[in-house]
Amino acid sequence: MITMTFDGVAIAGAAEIPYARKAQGITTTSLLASVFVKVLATAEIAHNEVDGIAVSSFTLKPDHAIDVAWQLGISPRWSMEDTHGGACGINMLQHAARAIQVGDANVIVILAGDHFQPSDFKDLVENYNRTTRDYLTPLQFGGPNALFALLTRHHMKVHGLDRSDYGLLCIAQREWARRNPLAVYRSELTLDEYLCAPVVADPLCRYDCVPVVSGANALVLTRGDRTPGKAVGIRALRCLYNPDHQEGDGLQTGLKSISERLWQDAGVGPAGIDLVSVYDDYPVMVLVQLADLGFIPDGDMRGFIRNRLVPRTLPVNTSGGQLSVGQAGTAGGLHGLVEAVLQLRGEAGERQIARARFAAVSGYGMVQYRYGMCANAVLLEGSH
Amino acid sequence: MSVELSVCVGCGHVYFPQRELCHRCSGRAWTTITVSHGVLEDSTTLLHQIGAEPPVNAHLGAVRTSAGPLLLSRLKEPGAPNMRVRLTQAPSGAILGEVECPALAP
Repeated sequence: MITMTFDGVAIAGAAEIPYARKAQGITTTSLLASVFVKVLATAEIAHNEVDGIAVSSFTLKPDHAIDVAWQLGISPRWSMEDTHGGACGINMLQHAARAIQVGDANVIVILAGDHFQPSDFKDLVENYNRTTRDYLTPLQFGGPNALFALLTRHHMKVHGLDRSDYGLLCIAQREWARRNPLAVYRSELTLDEYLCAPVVADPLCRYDCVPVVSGANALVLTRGDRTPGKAVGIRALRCLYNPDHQEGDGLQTGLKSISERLWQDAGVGPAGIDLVSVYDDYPVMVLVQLADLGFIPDGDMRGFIRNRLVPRTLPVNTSGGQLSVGQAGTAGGLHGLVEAVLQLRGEAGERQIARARFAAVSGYGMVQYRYGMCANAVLLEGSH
Repeated sequence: MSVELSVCVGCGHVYFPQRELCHRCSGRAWTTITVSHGVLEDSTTLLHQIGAEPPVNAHLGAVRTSAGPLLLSRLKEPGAPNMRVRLTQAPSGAILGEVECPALAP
C-alpha cells in the first residue's frame, strides 16, 4: 500500500547554533558536530540511538555525509547527502520521514551548515553550477545579487511596488529579530535607514541582501510512538522542482502548482496557519512564495505588507529570517523549519507565538540561469 | 561574434543555455541559430560585490531575443526597458550588450 500521509513520524527536536560573521577557529564539521550535540540534548535522545543521518553543506568537501557520521561517532543504517540549497531542509525532511515510516531508521538527525572563508564564498558563487561557471561568472557579477535585482525590478513593475514596500518587509522581519538573541542584526531598522542604505545592485540595497555568516541547524526525527509530549507532526509536504525550465519570469515558483494539493493534504487552509517561515534570500522572494502559497489571495502585495506583515497579524519569519539572522549557506535551507518547530514546541522565547499549532514552511533555491529551480513546502502541527 | 542559440530539430523550440533533452518533445538532436540583437526588458547596475573594491559599477541587462530566450548580458552602458541592444558573445562565454536605440513598438 502506498502511504501518502506522514503518520507515524515525529519531529522530536530542533536546534540552531549561534551564527557568526567572519568566524575563526572553527570548521564546517565542527559546526555540524555542535548542532548535532545540541539537537540531541533538546530532544533528550542518546547519541547511540541515532541510526540515520542527512547532511547538506556547500563547504563540506572533500568530505561527505558518511565522513560526518564517522566524525560524530555514529553507525547509521540510513544516510543521505543533499545538494538543494535553500530547499534542502524540506527535501531532507521528506526523505527522512519516509525512511522512518518504512522502518529503514528509527532516529534520524538532519544537519545543514557551512563555514565560509572569503575564498570559499567566492568559489561557491562562481562555480555554483555549470551554467554559472560558463555563462554568469564571465559576466563578472560575483553572485546572485544582480540576478535578484533584475527579478525585483520586474516584480516592482508587475505589482506597482516601490522600494519602501520591500523596506517595510525587511523592517517587519527586523522587529522579529529584535526578539531573537541568536540574530546577527538585532537593532531597530527604520525606513529612512533602509532607503538611505548603500545600493548593492539597484533596486537592492544592503538590507535586501542576506549577511553571509557561518552556522548550522538541525532537526531530529523519530517514530511517532518514540516521542510523546512536544513532538511536531507533518500534516503535508510537497515539492516541485524545475517547473518552468527557466522560461518564466521567475515571479512564480513550484509552490504555485503544489499549494492546492498541499492544503488539501493538510486539511487546513492559509487562514488556519499560526505562523509562516518562508525562504528569504531576498525580500521579493518572500512575497512571491507567500503569494504562491495562497496567503495573498487578492494579489494586493502592498496591502498585504501593510496590513499583515507590518502589524504582524500574520507572523512571517519570526526568527527575523535570514535577512536579519544571517545566511549560513545551506543552514539557511533548514533555518525556517527549525524556527517553526521551536515555535510549535513553545521554545521560541520572547518571540513565541501564543498557542501556535499550525506552521507553514517553504524552501526555495538553486539558481540555474536566472532564478531558483527548487521550491517545496511543509505544513507542521504542534502538540504541546 | 553573434550569440549562438540551440534549436531542437524535433519541435523547433529555442534554448539558451543548451540542454541535453528538449523538455517539449524529448528530442536530443540540435541545430543552432545566431542572434545579433534583442530588446532590453530589465537592467541593474551592480555597485558592491564581495571581494571587489567598490564601486564595481557593472551594468547587467535581461535582453529578450526575437527567437524567444531571455539572455543575461553585460551592458556597456546603462539602458532603459524597450531599448534595442546589439549582442555579441566573448570567447569567455560572456554575452555582451551595447544599447543602440529605443526599440520600435511591436
